[in-house]
Amino acid sequence: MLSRVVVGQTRFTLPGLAVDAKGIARGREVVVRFAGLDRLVAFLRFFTANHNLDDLGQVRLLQARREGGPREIVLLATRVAPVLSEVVAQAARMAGSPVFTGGARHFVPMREAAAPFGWDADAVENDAADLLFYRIDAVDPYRVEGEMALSSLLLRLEPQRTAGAESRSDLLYVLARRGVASALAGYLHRAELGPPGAAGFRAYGAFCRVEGADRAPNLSGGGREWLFLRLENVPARMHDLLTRTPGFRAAAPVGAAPNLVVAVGYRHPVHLDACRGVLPADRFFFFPPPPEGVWVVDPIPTLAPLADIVRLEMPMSGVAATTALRPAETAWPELAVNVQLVPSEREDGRVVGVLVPRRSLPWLRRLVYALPSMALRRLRVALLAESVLILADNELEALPFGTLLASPRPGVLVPVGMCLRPAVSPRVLAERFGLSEGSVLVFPGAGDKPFLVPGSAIHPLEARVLLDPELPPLTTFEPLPAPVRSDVEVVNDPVGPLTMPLWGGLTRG
Amino acid sequence: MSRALVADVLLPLLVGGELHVGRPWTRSRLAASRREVAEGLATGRPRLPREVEALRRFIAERQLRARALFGDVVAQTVVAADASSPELDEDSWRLGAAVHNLLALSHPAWAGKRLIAGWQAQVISESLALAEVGPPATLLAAVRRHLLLASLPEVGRQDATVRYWLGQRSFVGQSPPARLLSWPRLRRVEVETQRKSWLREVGVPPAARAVILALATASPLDETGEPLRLDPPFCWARVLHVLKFHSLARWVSRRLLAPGFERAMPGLADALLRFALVQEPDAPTAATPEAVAFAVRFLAHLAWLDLLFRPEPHVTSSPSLTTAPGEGPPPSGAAPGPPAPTFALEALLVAAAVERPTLLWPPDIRPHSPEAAPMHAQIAAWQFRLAAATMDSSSQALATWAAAHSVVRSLPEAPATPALPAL
Repeated sequence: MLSRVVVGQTRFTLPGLAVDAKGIARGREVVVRFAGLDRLVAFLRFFTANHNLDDLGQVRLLQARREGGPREIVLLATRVAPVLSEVVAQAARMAGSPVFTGGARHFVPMREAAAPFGWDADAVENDAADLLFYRIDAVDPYRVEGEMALSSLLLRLEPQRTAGAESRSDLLYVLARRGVASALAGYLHRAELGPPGAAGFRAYGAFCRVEGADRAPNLSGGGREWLFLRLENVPARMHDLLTRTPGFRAAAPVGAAPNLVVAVGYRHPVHLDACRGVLPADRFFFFPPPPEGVWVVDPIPTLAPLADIVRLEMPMSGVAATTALRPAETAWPELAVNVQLVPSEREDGRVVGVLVPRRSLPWLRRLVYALPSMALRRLRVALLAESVLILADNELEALPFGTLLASPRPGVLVPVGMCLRPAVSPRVLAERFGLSEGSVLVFPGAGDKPFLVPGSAIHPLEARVLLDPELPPLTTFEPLPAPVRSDVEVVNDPVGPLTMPLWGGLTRG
Repeated sequence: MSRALVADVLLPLLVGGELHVGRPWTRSRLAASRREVAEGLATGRPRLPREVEALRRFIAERQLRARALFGDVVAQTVVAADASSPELDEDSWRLGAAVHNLLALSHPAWAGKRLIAGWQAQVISESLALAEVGPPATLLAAVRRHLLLASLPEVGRQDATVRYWLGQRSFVGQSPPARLLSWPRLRRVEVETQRKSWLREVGVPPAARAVILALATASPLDETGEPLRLDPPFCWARVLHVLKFHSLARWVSRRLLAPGFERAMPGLADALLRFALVQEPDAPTAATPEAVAFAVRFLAHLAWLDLLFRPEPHVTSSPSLTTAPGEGPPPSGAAPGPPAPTFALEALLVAAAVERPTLLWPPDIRPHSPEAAPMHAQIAAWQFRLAAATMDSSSQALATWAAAHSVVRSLPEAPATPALPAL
């Protein structure tokens, strides 16, 4: 049923075949027949590694079946350039699928080693099938049963985990549930204001609707419950937080595609940046880790600087906690009132201390490893029975847990957002509570009695964080100086004018 | 003839400095010198005190360099061996004398003199007898020989040309006498000095190439530092002898990958294919299926090292249809790159992946585990590159693939437990 095209042949039996500049018979259309979806995906992966899918022109995926045979997928590309058709053929062969050329439902195999100038049919088959594939000894008629959209195929494929260390991207997109969105936005906004290591870090966000997010097993609740964030120049220290914290989904952009992102640590089976023309540009496609499917943000939200989104509020505002504390002695019992902690309407003093409960000490221990040396030197600590009091000289930062304490008066610490009433002068307060130079009076909160920490119990943090070292006995090999090496210079010694080289030196016998 | 081989030759080879070349050494003179040094060590009243002192310093410096180069574990082997015997090992004597004789071939007292034509063949014959110590049988021998001969590529010679009012005189490896340099302004004295690398610029006569090969066989670790050198080319038959020592094999892996995976590996793969196909009868190691299989496993081991520990991200998922491996400009400041792509690396490892997967996959990595994903991607890239190259009729990729495939098919599977072939 097939005959090889010979050099110089210009007329063909099969309709739609024509010679190109190299004398090779090609049709208007290139067809690849895949036995299964896996081979189609393999083909797409090989092809998109170096070429854009848009170069193939109009691509259709047909579901076709031979009489009595299984259903197969037929990729039909029209108006393919001759050079590109060779690339399609190579990728198809790599994927283990046959490739054909032709037009008007008649297709012959693409040129191969056995027929370097291509194939032509001996006679045109008159079968009523939708597609006719000519072989050496027969013609395979195929009936088209349906068509599938390439975009839906790309969106159904699950990302695959990349091996090895995760590559860190400076640009991240993060989707956060509304429950944790405000906390995350506040954290990112503080980071944006300039902590160390965040130079150039910028965050933009918007609340949006995410279709498909309700399929996530541990992230129920879709609709307008998501904060969409775009983070630029993300510091390395944030990567783990953003990629491993439950409630967030962090993704990195795929190539230069502005609306395609894949979860950090994963990659799409197909090179998506080569398929930009296939997917609609007015939606944002977010590929989370499997099996959550694809999340679609439609329409793409208009992002605003994070400073416009984050809600600034005083910690513990609105908490009407009061406590009554009675000093040891009062000269006028009938006039004496209790010192009370009441909510403050304005920020009263800087945060200079934190009271870390005993149960949070493991967190503190882990944080100590991350503290810079300057912070370790400046922080002071008092070890109490059930908690640890940490004090800073100027302002306390980088301790996100425990009860934050402000200092409305020198030597007096109250929870942030609270103040002492009556507003007696510091001198009177110091007299009544026996406050001396270096000591600290702490009001831990509602329902807790104040306590006085003497100055002798406050030590530098760096002096208290190290365990006693247990040095193993050192075994030294032998103290040797470092080897020194210089160039080797040949010096030909004088040997005399009549000296024979091996005079008397040869071994005889 | 210089009577101080250790002080004049061995010690400068080890630590640098002036290497004095005199009359060539013969086996009988070498044996006599060794006896004198041994007697001096034993009696404490040496007839050659300078030589004995140099020998003690040579041993101490060798221990120091073994520790700096190979680490404490290997260095302990050297120290323990030196502690058991105060004398210098025979290999060092013979190899040092052979190097001295090669240097003596370019001594101006004899080079090119017709009166003593034929002496060169005798010196080469004697040097060959000294250098033929065979491949190293132990880790200790391999390390000792490498420490002695590692500096051969750095050996150089200062040649001076003195021009004055009556003419000019040349001094090869010698300093001009002071009388020739006196009254420089009156006699218009000009001195031009030039340093020449002995191996690359001075060289040895073609007949002495056998001695160079014997030295390379004696110390295979030397050529692992130069996997891209042209002459003598990298030879698996020699290097396999040191790869059987685990601690040295790790060290060799680092050295081979030092020029970069893309630069070093194609040459190693070419050499491996040559080793398997040529079957040289007088090679130090016969190209048995077990030896070739071990070499393929070592090649795969290097590929794994590059995949797992390469500092920058590894680009494996974008095989190029138009750019063959090895094309493109070499990095600035690096040695010249491999000439033309031969696809031996791709062919060998893809063939191993298809026909003998146990040669490619380490026993502790299952082919379907996440850790295996980078190698799967790398193999796919190689396959694609190979397929693209076979479409080009001017490329030798198809022939290379056929040869590699036939070689790999003849190899046995790797044993379940890591074991080394009997070499």
